[in-house]
Amino acid sequence: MNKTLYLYEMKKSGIMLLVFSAIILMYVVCVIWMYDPEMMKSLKQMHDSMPQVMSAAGMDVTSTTLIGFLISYLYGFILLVFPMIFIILRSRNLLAGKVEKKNMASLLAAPVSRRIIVQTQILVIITCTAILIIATTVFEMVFCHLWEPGELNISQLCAINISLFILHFFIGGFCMAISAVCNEASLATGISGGIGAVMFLVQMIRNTQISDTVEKFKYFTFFTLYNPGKIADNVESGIIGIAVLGVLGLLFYFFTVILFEKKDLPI
Amino acid sequence: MTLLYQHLVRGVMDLNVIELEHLTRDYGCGKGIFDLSLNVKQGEVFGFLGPNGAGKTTTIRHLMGFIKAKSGKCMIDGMDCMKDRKAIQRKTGYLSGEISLFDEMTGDEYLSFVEKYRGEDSNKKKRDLIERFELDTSVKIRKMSKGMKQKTGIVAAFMSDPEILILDEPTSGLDPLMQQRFTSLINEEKKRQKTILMSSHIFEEVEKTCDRIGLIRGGRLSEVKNIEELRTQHSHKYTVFLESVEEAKKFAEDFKGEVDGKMVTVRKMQTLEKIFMNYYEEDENE
Repeated sequence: MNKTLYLYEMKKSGIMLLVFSAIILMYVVCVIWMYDPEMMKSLKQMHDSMPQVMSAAGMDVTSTTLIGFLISYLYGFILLVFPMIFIILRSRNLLAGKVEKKNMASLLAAPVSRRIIVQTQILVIITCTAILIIATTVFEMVFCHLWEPGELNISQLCAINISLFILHFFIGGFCMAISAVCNEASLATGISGGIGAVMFLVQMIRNTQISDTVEKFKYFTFFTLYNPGKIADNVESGIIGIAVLGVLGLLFYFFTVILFEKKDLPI
Repeated sequence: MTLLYQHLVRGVMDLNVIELEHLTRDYGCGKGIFDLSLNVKQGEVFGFLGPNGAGKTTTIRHLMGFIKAKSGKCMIDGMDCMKDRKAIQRKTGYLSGEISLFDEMTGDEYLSFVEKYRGEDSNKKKRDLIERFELDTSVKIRKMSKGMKQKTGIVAAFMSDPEILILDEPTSGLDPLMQQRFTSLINEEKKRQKTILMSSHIFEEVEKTCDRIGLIRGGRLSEVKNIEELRTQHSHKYTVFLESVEEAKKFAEDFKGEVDGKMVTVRKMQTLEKIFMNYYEEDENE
């Protein structure tokens, strides 16, 4: 890792990190504010009246505990999509954008190997992801403690957030590999954003569970591998899914390094 | 001791610092570089001339290890430009043809970023260069003019006091005064035994700085010439007889000729510009 480059990139991530943390904070506050065992009943009624629509947005009312409530309203959409958007936007500039703008030349015209450069950039995206997830965890803990003291199961929350981090670690690996291949930032965003959006759409359709065919959609999206409900309940299949994501993520980061080291740079 | 030995060996054997052997890279449609071979010795300034799209930048990309040699060899100090890029870059300064720095930094921030990033302390040389080029480093790079960015790039390339300099059109965007300062900087570095390869379009600066010139056309090196050789090849000699010795002396003074009694010999050298224009036109006619 090159410390100077790392600090520069982290500083550059600052504002974006702040904006995305603020968005997440807003949703966390809203959702915890909404939590009310009484209201859960009316929501359940709503869900019963139009199950597909609610499920599509990942909002399944299955559990009435606070953690179940958070899983339904935060972990089906907000905490999947917003960190993913952050990663797509940040990863484009870490490699592809610098090749496009040619200031990668400033980084390469120095006794710093390509491997060190790409490893530093990978570390930046991982650090940013970790910051977002840690911020989320802190927000959840603070507001649950303020408004619903004693209701939150901390170890369950940690388990689902650590696995949420691994999901986004995987997405980061995928986006960085794309960024390493592309010579244009917009192309990198197009590919990683496009694939991310399609995967999420497939996940939404699959959530509706309207037919058996739709159920098979689970094989076409990586979001299937992240099942916070199962992780909270410590179900084995949920943990295996996360382990698979972790391994795939590592592989993607590995490929990112190899691809960037070998490629011809038009700078 | 080893350094002294190296110097001795270099002095005796005229070691090549930059070596290209049959370097080829075909981009299709006749673009690219083909079978390019050239050497630059230590302490030599090599000028790389050619029309747009001739392959100058492609060659420089190979030297910087941005792209791999598809066939042929590309070496600096006996090391492979791609594989040993890290070791080579420790002693190399580079100025990109299409200057692109970090827009959101000020000149000062950029220069100290480069310094820290390289892990070197080059404060003194940096100050000297900033002064020499009258660069205002407090301005954000985004707001800099082309010339200011170019100067910032020059400072960044020279401040680590590298042994080898690879410069892609170094004076583009500089005003005549700054071009002059750049020329004298190159000449100073040459005296300090630095090896320099620069591509250029400005004949005057090439004429004033380079020892040898390589002319590249359509990706092929068509000519490598000593600058003195070029000059004698393309000069005309006139002998004039004047009425008196006095007049002959004055004439010789005004026209920089050699006096011999009433006879004065003047040489009119063709400018490099003219020489190269002939080459370029030839190329287009082919």
